[in-house]
Amino acid sequence: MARSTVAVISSMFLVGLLLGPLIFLINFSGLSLSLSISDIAAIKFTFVQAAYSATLSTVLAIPVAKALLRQKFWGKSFVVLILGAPFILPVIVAVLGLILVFGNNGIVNNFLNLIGLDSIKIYGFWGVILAHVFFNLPLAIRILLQAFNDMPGEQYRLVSSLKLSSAQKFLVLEWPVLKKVCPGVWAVIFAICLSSFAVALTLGGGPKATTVELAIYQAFFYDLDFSKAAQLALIQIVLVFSVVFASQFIVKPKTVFGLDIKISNQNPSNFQKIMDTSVIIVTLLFIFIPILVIFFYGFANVFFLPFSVFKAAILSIQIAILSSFLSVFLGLCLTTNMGEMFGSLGIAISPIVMGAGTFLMLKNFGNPYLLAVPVTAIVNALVSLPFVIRILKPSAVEIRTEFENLSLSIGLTGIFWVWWVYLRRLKRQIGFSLGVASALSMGDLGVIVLFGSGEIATLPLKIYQLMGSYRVDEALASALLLSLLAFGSFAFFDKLGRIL
Amino acid sequence: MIRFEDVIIKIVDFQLAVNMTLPKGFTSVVGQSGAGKSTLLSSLSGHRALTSGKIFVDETRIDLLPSNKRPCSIIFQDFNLFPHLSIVQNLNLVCGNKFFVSESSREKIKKVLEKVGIVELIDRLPSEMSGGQQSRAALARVLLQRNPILLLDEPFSALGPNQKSELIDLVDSLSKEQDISVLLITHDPKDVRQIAGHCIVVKDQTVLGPFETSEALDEDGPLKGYL
Repeated sequence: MARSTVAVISSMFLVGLLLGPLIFLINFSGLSLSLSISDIAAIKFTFVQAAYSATLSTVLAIPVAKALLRQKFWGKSFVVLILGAPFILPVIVAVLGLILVFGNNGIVNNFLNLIGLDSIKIYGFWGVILAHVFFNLPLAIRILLQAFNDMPGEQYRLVSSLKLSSAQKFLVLEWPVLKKVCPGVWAVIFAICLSSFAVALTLGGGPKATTVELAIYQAFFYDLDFSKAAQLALIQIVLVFSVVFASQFIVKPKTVFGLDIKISNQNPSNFQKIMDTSVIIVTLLFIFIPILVIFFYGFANVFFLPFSVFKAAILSIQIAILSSFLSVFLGLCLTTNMGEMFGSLGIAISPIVMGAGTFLMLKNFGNPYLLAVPVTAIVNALVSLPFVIRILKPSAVEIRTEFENLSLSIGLTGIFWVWWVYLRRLKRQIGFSLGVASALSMGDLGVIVLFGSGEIATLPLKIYQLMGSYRVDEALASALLLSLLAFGSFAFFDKLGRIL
Repeated sequence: MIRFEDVIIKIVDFQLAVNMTLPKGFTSVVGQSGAGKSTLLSSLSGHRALTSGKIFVDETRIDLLPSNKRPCSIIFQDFNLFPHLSIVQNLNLVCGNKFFVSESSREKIKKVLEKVGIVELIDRLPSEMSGGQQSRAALARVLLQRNPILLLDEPFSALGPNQKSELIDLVDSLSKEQDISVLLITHDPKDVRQIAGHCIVVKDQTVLGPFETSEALDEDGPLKGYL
């Protein structure tokens, strides 16, 4: 079967999975287009928090990326590498960590009280922003750092030979990069934050801090107003699609090419060295203290957790395995431009909507709770699919180009080509994407909140339930267990892809 | 016998016209860079579609067949072996069972590797072999394919003169042994002289020949100025 046929069939399957539940939800409820005051407030909050989160993350990333570019120190590549950690850190764990640091009795507030200042509040608008910056600042830093690194060494050499002032250097060297890259970074973070659910569920809520995604959940779960859920779901899709579409015009391709001459491009002054070091240290503390406190506080109780937590952990592992393999399978079928376009739909369509529609569909055939595991696995797979395709596609395209003539000349096509060439050449990327997909699924607190119950709970849901019943010690220990599982599954699959 | 009948191949503003019949045996393909030598071979192997015309091999029309159904094997300048597969796995791709290397396939592969002189390298990866050894492995695969036509798109150009000469001799003897017609693209006069046979010249968007190699190499022959 030709790869285009595979991509078309997979895309159709995917569209069915993504749009089927939504269409069912609309059919089931009948769509009315009236927005209440709270709906408008949710839309406004969604936009405002996404705009604040994207702006703060992008602006704060600039000095950090510049500092990392300028300074050379032992372990720098490791620091850049672990800046990727928040991406696979389960949201519920990060939220717990942020509460321990910035919450009412957290480290920061205790210090502020000690010096006679007022406490800061983590719940509500600023809590949501803080969590979003925590997740997206490292992403922005990595993209900007890459853009600065991509600048040809010749330009630095030319500028240093002209003996320009700092302001002139900024205008000549950095401003063109920032002007080109920052809008794209902002748009990506804005789109991610538009779909925020778990952060809003745990740190937001209430009329002043509800995202559209959270409003869908509330309409579905608490109000049983399926019509409203469907209506909000459509609004959410239009919002995210508009941003994704607009970002196509904002993100500009690389246009400056040099001869790849690697030269020492920066000679920072002592003052600059001190400032850069401070910026890097503060950023690392901001990102890693919330993770480290989870390890510190959770470690004591991790061996004394109740059986129900381990049962939830086993369920999370099962779902992660199912969803990561499904996601990578679909990703391997969709490594074409058309496939990538359809695969990216997963970003725009809310997991809660997919879950809600599926729930109602399954209700016609029996008890939907019995299918909680496969449904959660499928939805998680679709959520991680855009990232999986982004990992697999560049290498897949390269393999097809590089080996096309040889493969055709010996008649190696179809399933045999997949077996001998595609899978073997892609094994590192497959391992990496399995790792990312399994870690994302492991930490997901999305669709499971619809299907979950006392009996069926994944580990993130269990932690949410423990937090809700103020069993903080058990929640912290469970969060540690979840972090270990998320990072462990990522490391396991990534390593597997390298050694096989 | 290979017959090109009113063949036209257009690529953007480049066009190649071919109308000729090639006899069995060894044929050198000569012409300046960009003249269309590789295009000619690609059209025969099915990697490049014809704009018009027909190609016959022994009265069987082949230009409508997909590349893997054509009676041609091809060795390129590079990328002749999959770098992540051992030699036995590479060669097994043209044997019966395509998922695993069976014992019978291994024996078959051993025999052809003996013919090309690298049987001891059967389990090596291409990266663990020299350029000449890799070319021999690619040649062994051609023998397994058992196609009546072998197309050589400058496969030995990166090798030293001695290695190249050895390999051309090997191709010559094996092709005679297995009754394979060979088309070899080359820029080296030594290659053309080394093999008694025919040659064709790709020039001014058309293909001239075939000529007897000995005549073509004469002072006033058609190869003057190309070698």
